[in-house]
Amino acid sequence: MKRILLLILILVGICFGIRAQEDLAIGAAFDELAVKQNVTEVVMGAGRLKKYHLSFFHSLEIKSPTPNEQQRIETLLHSDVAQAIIHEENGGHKLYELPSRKGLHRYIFYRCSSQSLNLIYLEGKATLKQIKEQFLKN
Amino acid sequence: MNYELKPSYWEQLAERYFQAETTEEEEQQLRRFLCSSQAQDPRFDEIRATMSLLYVGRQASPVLHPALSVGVNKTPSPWLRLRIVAVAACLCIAMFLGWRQYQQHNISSVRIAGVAIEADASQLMQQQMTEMLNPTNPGDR
Repeated sequence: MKRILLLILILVGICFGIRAQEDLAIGAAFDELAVKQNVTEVVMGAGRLKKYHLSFFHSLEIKSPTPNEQQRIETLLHSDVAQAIIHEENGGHKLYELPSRKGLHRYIFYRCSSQSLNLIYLEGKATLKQIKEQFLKN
Repeated sequence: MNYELKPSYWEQLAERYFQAETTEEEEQQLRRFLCSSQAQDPRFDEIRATMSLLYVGRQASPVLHPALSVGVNKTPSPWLRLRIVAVAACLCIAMFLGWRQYQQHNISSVRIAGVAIEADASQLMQQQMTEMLNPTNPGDR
């Protein structure tokens, strides 16, 4: 009986377990801002990302972001990127690789202009080099 | 118990056992006889094997096989019921997890203002990633 109870507890734990970027501060940005009028949210699972060797894609695109929206995202982003192992910046484009989790690489991409703000969270086995090759060859 | 009865008596009893015509008391007698030295005869191998199998089956799962549970309390104890409920709960949770995993694995959605719309998520992803990685398309803040 103890074994069954333990199994139930484990299964319940998995049910409410951490999913994708939910352990990151930017998870709050996805939750809070995705319902705003000027926001487009894209979510894709591993089944659709096989050819890129990725397992999760989550993006927010905010058209004409307000200073408050930008500040909120940047505040959350700063707390996450403190642990980044790779940080690249090119103009307004920022790219961070976070420590891998469960053998999966994790990336955050951020770009902000007066027209739009983009925040992307990526997870998968692909390296940064592979990701760049995949998307820039198209 | 008098095991000195003629072997034919036990053979007949075994035959009646296979016909499901024996009483519980006769079956008890038969079981005892089969444990005795007089029953160590190939003629009784079949009945011995059958009764042994039933005994093992009854010991292993008297509730799941009520037909085998002669002499065992057929009403499951509260403890046993709890175990059955727990196993059922485990199965339900496992099924839910499997379903959720499947959903997450194949998710592909585009939402505007939190409302799902019909759009090609793959194409949008391509576009966003290309813009993001393209150094000729910098932001201005």
